[in-house]
Amino acid sequence: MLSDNAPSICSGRLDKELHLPSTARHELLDFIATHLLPWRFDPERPKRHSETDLTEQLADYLNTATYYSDKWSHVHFSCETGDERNRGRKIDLTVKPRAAVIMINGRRHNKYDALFPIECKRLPTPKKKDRDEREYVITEPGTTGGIQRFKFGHHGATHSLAAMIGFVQGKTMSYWKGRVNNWISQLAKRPSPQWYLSDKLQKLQNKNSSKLHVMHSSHPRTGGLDDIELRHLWIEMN
Amino acid sequence: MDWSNADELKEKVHALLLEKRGAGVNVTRIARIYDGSCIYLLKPDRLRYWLRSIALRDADDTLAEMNEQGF
Repeated sequence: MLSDNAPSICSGRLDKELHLPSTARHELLDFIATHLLPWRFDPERPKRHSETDLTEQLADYLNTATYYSDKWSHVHFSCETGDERNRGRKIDLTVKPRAAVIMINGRRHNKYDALFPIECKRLPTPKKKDRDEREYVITEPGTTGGIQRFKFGHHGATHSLAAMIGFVQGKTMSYWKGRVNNWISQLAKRPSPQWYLSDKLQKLQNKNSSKLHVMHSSHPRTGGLDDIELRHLWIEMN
Repeated sequence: MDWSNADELKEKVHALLLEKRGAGVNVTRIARIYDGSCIYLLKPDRLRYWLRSIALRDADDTLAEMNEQGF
């Protein structure tokens, strides 16, 4: 019937710069960042030190925060979920739609799809003989370093944005930023390097305080994968 | 926005949106024009085209087209 074919016309285009890619996800990262200090100082929070305990606590706190949020009640956080491409590998923390379908950059996300993955690491890395002190960046031998797993597509291969949360349990944040960037510089000096100076962490303006640092880094990837941007949220836990 | 020659524009919009098919069928089109940072919805000035329920449908259609444009 004629009435079943609503005649409509559309013409023209909106400016590409009108809505920058990843705007919604960056806002969600800001939401997480603003809740790190309240979580850290929550008087009801049991004092824990292990990465898995802290990550689980943070997920619980963020899920309560999103439940009462006007803006983010349609997302929730899960711990230890399988990576979309490498199912055997576990993501520390993922954020997924809750009772909603979210379109981002033309990609449909339902309740089973991560909006972006989050890796949590402690600084310093606990001292054990089988652990690499550079674990935030890389593990050698191995593929479980924090930045390494995203840069080489072991985690988040289907994403162009991911986050890392650093639980700083010793020394200062400035000290660790220097150490992390120094490890990357050393990797970039190797013959036939897979790491570059451009992989270093950079501060984001007006996002830092004495107990919370927000930084970002950008990493080219091989194997036909898009570049990935990492947002680093560091919270002082001392 | 320059609204000079609005009457002339009105005639052109009518020619674009209104179509007579045969003796008894009039077709009214709805147009969405995307221009830089603006979206124009061209519809007849009758209340039934501007109800809140219709606005929700317009929003759905607009979002679908923005999705096709890569937003």
